[in-house]
Amino acid sequence: MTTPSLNTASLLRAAADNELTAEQNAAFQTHLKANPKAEACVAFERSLRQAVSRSMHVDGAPADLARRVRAALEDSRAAERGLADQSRDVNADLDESELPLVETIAHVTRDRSFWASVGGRLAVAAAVLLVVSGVWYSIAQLSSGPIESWSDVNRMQLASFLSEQHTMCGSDPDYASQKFTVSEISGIEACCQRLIEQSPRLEKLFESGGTLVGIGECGVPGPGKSVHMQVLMPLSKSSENQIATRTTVSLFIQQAMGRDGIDPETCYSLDEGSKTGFVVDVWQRDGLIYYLVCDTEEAASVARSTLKVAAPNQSL
Amino acid sequence: MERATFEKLALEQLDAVYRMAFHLTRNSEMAEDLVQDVFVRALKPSAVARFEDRGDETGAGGIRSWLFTICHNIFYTQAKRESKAPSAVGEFFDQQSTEVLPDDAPPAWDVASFDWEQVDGRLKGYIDDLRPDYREVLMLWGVEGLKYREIAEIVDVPIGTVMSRLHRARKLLADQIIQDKGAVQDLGLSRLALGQPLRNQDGQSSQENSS
Repeated sequence: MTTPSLNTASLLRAAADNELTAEQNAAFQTHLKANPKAEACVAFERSLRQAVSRSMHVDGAPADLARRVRAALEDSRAAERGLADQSRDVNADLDESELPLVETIAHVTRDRSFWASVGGRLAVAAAVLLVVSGVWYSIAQLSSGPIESWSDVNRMQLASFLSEQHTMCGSDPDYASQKFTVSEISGIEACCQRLIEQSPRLEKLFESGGTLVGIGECGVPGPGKSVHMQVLMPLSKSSENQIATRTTVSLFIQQAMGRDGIDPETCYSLDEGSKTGFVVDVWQRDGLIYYLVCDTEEAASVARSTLKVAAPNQSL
Repeated sequence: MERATFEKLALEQLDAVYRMAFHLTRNSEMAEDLVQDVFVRALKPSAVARFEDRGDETGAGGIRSWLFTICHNIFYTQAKRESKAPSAVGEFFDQQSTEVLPDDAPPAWDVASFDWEQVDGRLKGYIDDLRPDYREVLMLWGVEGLKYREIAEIVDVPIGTVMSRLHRARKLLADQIIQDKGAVQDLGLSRLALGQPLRNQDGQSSQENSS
């Protein structure tokens, strides 16, 4: 038997794996007729596959792993329910050190887990925020003034910060999982009460098919505390023949505190001309400032509709 | 789909996910940790929503492939992080691999008389020495019986790359067998078939009918 070429070698292995297309199978049959011993090559590969299957066989997960996984899932859910339970007693004198959130997360996060400690990762994330945004100190200096007085540079720096956080949380699951400490809708109100001391108005955001990716504390430049919430929103309805298209939108909610320059219930564009590549809207409602970041105008339109916000007709 | 139902279906794949985790980590403790992380991430509402968007691939096979994908992503994300540390494991990102692409066909041995079970332990050792990306595709191909397309979706590479890794891995295993005198004997492989000089157990040359 002559030594086959590389293409033929791949052909023989793929034949052994039953992965040939009709055209490739025709080529294989032609090769077989000219080289009958190629059948032995195919037979060897098939027997090798069986041998690999046997050698790599693992009896199964350890007996207690299922129990551990279920316990971890329950701990994860309990951590989020714990926030919801906590918010019921709004008059409670909550001491940060007594909140169960950190302890709950520590319980869920095991020392020998693949994940590094929560504290260490938050420190890294904070350092990245300071380096990437570069606007931390400059916007803080302007925090007491109306937004109209902000320069183009400061508005752009804020829009850049928001769009960068939106991107990082959308593309890096590890970063997102560290930031978003709550992933259940039922935990949103408790999270906001704890972090921004108010309940946001989210209108029909989740009733219209939106799925919460997560919500957590965020350092939006400015004096007010803030949270970042990311939502998977449907852009079209699913049907028998078509799966709904979804997009990720980010909603940053910040205590207004001194931001008097925005007319309530009026939506502004923070990034006219889309220099960041994203649609960034801002509006004020009931003492909270909302920043909406979307990948496309279509997504922004859907998000505004569910949040009952008109499209911006002016920029800041 | 109800979350409890989805969780039940996902947990039915626990053994399969553990298998993959074990072959990636080569350590039972790390494998258990990896499995736990996979399920905690997979059963977040947003992850379930993304899975359901896959449409008709939401059966048991679809759930298994999806869990494999998450396992793959978590493992390699951690590996990338560790590769930046001083004690990085360099094999994961060996961009200057000196491996030669297999340019010859599989051996044309008569496998009818092979006793593969006698070389299971050796084969396991050869597999353990392979790069993790080779072990991964071998496990998905050999143990889980997945198609090239399915493997490509899980490890997020083109089908051609899957074929290349599989073929290299199989070639390496075949070469290891040939070079291992003990394996050749255990397998019952005639040296004539290998095209090598005939030698008896004492290493002395001898003659033997080839028919």
